[in-house]
This record gives sequence, structure tokens and C-alpha cells, in this order.
Amino acid sequence: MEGTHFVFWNWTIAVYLFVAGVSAGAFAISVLAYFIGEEKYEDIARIGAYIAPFPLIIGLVFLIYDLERPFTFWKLLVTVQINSVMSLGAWLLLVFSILSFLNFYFWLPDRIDLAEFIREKLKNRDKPAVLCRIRDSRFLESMTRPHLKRFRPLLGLIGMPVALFVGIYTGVLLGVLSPRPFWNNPMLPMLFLVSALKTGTASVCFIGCFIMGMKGMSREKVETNKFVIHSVDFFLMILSMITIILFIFGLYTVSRNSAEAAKLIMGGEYTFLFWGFAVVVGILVPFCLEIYELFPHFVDHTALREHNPWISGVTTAAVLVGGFVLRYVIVYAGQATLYITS
Amino acid sequence: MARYGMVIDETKCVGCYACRVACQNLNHLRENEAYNFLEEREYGKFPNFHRVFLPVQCQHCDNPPCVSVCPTGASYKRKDGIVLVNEKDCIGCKYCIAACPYNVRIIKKEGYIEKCRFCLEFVEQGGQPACVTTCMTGVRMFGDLDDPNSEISRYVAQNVHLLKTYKEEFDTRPRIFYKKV
Repeated sequence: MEGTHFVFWNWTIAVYLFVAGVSAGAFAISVLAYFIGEEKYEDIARIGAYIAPFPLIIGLVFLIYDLERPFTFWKLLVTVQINSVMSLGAWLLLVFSILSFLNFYFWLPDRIDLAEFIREKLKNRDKPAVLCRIRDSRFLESMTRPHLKRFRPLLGLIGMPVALFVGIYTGVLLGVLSPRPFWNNPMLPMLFLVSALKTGTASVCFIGCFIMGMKGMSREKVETNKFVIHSVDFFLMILSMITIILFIFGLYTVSRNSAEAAKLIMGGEYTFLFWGFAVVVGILVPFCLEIYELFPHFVDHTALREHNPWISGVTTAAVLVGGFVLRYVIVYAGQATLYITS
Repeated sequence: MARYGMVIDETKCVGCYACRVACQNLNHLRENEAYNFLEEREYGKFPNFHRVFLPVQCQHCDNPPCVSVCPTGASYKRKDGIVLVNEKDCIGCKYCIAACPYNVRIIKKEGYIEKCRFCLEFVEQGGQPACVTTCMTGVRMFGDLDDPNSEISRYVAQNVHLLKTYKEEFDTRPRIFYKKV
């Protein structure tokens, strides 16, 4: 092991980076849909809000499991180390998981009302006084369903930058490590952010168009929700192609070491995984399917195709697989490179 | 205040690995673990070639990346310049392993990260690290850089134009100076 490279972060870290991106992307797309058209794109906003918290929780479990001492993870949250991206990221993830659970609660159906439930339970009690004061407080009143909707835009405004930061942070975490030429690339955080948004959008589309769309979808929904989610996905794919090209371009030009590191994906050990899965399965196949879906609208200017859940399903599943393989390749390839001096 | 440092004379190293074995014995490490290692390099083509051994261990940097990336503050630098890991605070996130340009940190089976400590328990009592005392050709020289009369200070003053630090590009400002071939 000494002087050579050994793997200290295994696939659990890749899973974590992937699902944190899915969460951040789902949250961001949910808030975006809410701001663009509250009524029109309600489905996207709702599904995004329902998805967002759960991949993150799985990711945190993986992240903690990867520690050599999993039960000491709380030490991350009793200190702030300004210089450490991981310390800042731990706090960021804490804030984001709270916000995404709040958003989840705000979007639940009206019949689930925690505040009303508490008030109902305490209705006939007159002591202790503390409970009565809680019951009659204006805070609890403002937490009942009819009032809760007003908090959605506020939460969106706060949560959107936090979600974007989470998407960027997963890249910055690796990107700041100057001895690892494969990671130390200014395009890496951007690549992770675009991939996060893309996989988040895909996860919303997977639930909305594939699982819920299995039974068929009304024409109106095809023209609003489905069209928008596929268009967003389409443009993010173009963006991710550009970032991948610039990432490789950066590897070749930043330094001799990173050009050496680029060989890992350009003919080296991870070539097939990177080009076969992360690029072809993750971007090109869904890109072609999106073109097929959106062609009538963008080019022919005719009505959209009839809803076929399998096209949406294959597109989004491919994006999700590609997003995971991209993280996997980057985590492993980064550890296989170390700065070399002559 | 002492300011500990080391000079490694690469030209004297014969590659016997005694420093590694001494370190492993002292720190109760397994055979595949070590706090120091030799980077072996070959230059040229037969018959005109030479082979050099570069002993590498924790460089006890003045600007240590492992300290700045540590999320819990477990990695720290003492006032006398020795970089240590507080094993109680270390959660084993392995971020410092990724950040170290010298690749000298290992994972202990107890679940924390450890690396060369300049044999602190000997040095505090006025002794020398095991890799220094065990070397048969005197490759390493250890001492107080702040004391102008110490052997290492005089050596550095005389050979300052020959001494280099390892991987200077990272601006880690190591405390270990190499006399290069």
C-alpha cells in the first residue's frame, strides 16, 4: 500500500454522492415548478417534495456507515471547522434535510394535519397549563393546513439555494483536494451539480410519468407536467454533455498530472464504465428518447405524442443509472491518481 | 520553543528498509502497515542508470492540508511543529488521507487515522526518533531548527542551497528537508 494507491472510499461514498444529488435535484425542481406555475405544475412540485427527503436519508446512512467509527458521527455536529469542506457540508446536509422534511410536510394532502391533530387531542384538557398554552398558541394555529400553504414560497426561497449548495458541495468536497489530479478540476462541482439536477428531475419523472403514468395520463397532464419535466431533462442533458466535455478538456490542460489522470477514462481502467454507462446510457440514450418525445412539439409544432410510460421509464432509469456510474467512476478514479513529481 | 525538523540525505540511502522495520516495531504495526516508506526510482538506461531511494514519511508541514480539511479538528499541529491526530476526536472519515499529497496516513484497525508522530515519547525526553537512530548510513538527522547550535541547524545553514522540500507545489512547507541526488 505505501507509496502506491489504495481505495479508502468505496462504493458507499459513490452511493451517497449520487443520492444526495437526487435529493437536491428533486427539491430544486419541485421549488422551480412551484414558482413557475403553482397550479399548472402542481404535480411536479408535489412529487419532487415527496421524493426529496428520502434518498438523502439513505445517503446519510451510507455516509455514516463508511466512517471507520460510525457511532462517533455526532462529533461532526458539535464543531464548525471553517476550512473543512466536510464540516461545512455536514451542517449543510443537516439544514437541507430539515428543510426537505418541512417541504415534504407542507405538501402532504390536507387530511394529514399534525397541528389540528394535536389541538384535537388536547381539546378537553385544562391542565397542565403548559399544554393549554401550546394548544391555544398562535404558532400552532398557523401550523394548521389552511395556513400552511403560505409557507411554501418562503421555504422555496430558502430551500432552493440550499439545495443547489448541496448539489455543488458534493463536487467541491472532492474538487478541493489538490493532490488528486482527477478530482482537482474546476469543472467537477459543476458536473456534479448538473448531474444532480438531471437525476433529481429524472427521479420526479420516473415516479410521475412511469409509475403513476402506468394507468395512462390525461391529455392535459401530458401537455403540462410531462412536457415540462421532459423539456427540463432535455436541456439538462445538453448542459451535462457540455460539462463532461469541459471536464475532460480541463483534465488534459490543467497540468501534466491531470493529463496523466485522464488516461484512466480515456483508454484506462474506467473507460468502459465512463463512456459506456455514464455517457451512453446516462446521457446519449435518454437524449435520443427525449428527442423522440419532444420532436413533435419542438420541430413539427404538432401535438405531443400519446403518453407511453415505458419511454419515460427507460429514459429516467437510464439517467439514474448513468448518474450513479458517473459518481462511481469519479470516486474510484480520483483515488487511483496521486500527484507525482519528478 | 523547540521547532522540530528533519533532514533526509537521499544520497546516503541504500534501501535497506531498517527505518521501516524499526518504525513498525516501535508502533506495533502489521507487516503491511508503516508510517514511513521508500519511494524507489530508477533513472536512465542500462548501463548508464542509477537508482535512488526516497524515504518518505509525514512531512509535519507548516501548512498541513490534513489539519485544514479535518471536519472535527482531530488533526492538529502542536506549537513545536509536530502534526498529530487526536484519536479520541477522529471519526475515521478518511478525508485527510485524500488530502495528503504524501500518501503517508494509514487507517488503524481501532478506527482512527494515524501517521508518523516523530516518535514523540522519545523526543520529549531528549531522544531521537527510531528511524533516525536505526539508520546505518546516517540518512536522517533530527533536531531543533530553532536552536542555532544544534547539529541540524548548522547542517541546514551550510547546505541550504542543496536542500529541497518534497512536492513544493502544494505550498505545504514541510519540516523535512531533502538533500537530493
